[in-house]
Amino acid sequence: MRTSHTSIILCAATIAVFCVSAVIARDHTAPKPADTLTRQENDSLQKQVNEEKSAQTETFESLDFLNKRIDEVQTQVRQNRAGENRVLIAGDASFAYTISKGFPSSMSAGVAPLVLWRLGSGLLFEGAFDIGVSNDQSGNGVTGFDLTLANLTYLLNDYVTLGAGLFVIPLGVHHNHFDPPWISPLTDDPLPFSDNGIAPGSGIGLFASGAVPFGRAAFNYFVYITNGPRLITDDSTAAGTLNFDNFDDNNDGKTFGGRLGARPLPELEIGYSLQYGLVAPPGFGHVGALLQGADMEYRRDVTVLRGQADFRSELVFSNVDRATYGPSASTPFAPLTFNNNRGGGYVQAAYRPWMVNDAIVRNLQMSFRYDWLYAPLEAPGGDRENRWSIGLNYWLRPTIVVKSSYEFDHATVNPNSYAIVFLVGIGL
Amino acid sequence: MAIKINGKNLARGLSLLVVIFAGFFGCGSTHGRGGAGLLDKGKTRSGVEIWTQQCGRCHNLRSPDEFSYAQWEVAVNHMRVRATLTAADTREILDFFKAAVPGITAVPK
Repeated sequence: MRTSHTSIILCAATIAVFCVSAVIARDHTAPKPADTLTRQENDSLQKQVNEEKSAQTETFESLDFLNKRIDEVQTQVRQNRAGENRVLIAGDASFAYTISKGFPSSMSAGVAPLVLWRLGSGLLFEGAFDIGVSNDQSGNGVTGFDLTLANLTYLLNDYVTLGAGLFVIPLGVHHNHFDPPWISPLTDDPLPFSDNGIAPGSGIGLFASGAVPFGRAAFNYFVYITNGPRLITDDSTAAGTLNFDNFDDNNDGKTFGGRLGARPLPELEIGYSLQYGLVAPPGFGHVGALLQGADMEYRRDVTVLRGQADFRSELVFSNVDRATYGPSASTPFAPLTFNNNRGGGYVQAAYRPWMVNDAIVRNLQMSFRYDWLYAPLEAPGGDRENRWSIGLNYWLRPTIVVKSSYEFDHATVNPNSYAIVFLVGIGL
Repeated sequence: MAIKINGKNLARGLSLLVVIFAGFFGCGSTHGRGGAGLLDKGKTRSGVEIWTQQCGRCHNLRSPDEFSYAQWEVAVNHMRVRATLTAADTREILDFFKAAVPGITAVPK
């Protein structure tokens, strides 16, 4: 029995020793678990962590640098950004060489700066000057400096703009839209809009204007009150004509006018304008002047013609009440009485083949105009003048053009004449 | 012979203009700019289209690079008055310049 117990104990001890040995042996031969690192791996990982920490530090430093730079740039932009008051100098300039029948050929130059001043939101000031040189009656050189525009406008809302000052009179649209030498395709103004014409240029007063959209079409209006023109009564060569440079009114009667325009197509505008006022100086009598104008402008690209067609036409009528001019102390000429009805207009077409590939041809522009101005033959300076003009232009840039034209002028009273004009027009 | 300017002659002149308009509408190409009118009330135009049509009706188009946006804002508002542009067209043209003039970005105040 003892032997049996001893054997059992020995067996158990043997088994225990065997198991412990097996466990120890297994510990030495089993593969290491995945979540344990060797020293080498640990060092490598530690190095990577340090490198990433370093890179992160550099990134933060870069971001700080960029943020500082952004702040600096924003500060510079804010410091240099345009303020509420802004001034823009625009305008035009020209140089011309004119050869005309009966006169020596002559060169001329002029500049007309246009100062646009934004006085805060909705307030705009417009000023313009005509600066030119010429000779006076003594032959001395003189520089002419004429204020042509000086007005303040306020954009009241989307449909009404109010203004006051010296502004362009919209009787017709030539002076308002096409006057600058880099815009008009010919070298001078149409006869009704010339210095001796029957359409006013600018006037002093108040105005309201605006435009109302209707789909792709739009309607616009411009109404005004000004000093109005002055009837010339005491000049034997010009009695009955209107002087539109009437900046000091010669009577208490003001002149009212306006223009209604429609743009049924984006490329087309048509308009009708009217002006009426008393024009005689005190003591001369009650003489009213009614001016009317009709205008049409159309300009579009025509693929078939591989270019741009530009068509403009205007009619102007001037009806001044019948009056008797002279005699008086200041008007020593014989009394003149006549119906003072005048009329004029022009039809003008221009074409520029800008779609062709040739670099020279595409910058050429051909133009044609027929204009006329009729004044009573019994009036001083009265005549029936018809003029034909053809022009060839070359565009150096969109706002710089070299123009040439030939004009033939046929008149009833004055002798026929012609003129050849070369002109460089620059839009500033 | 002095010309008689009266309502009859004015009516003749206006009739002449109407005939000229009609001729242009009849002969004009529908390619290029526009070609649609009152009946297209529902259609909208982009800023560049309005710019080419409204500004190009009277003069050649200046490059947007010629002025900064601040200067364009002055010039376009001036032309709104001079050419009686609609306020909506003016805004569309200015939006076009805002996108077209290089370097234009929103500046925080």
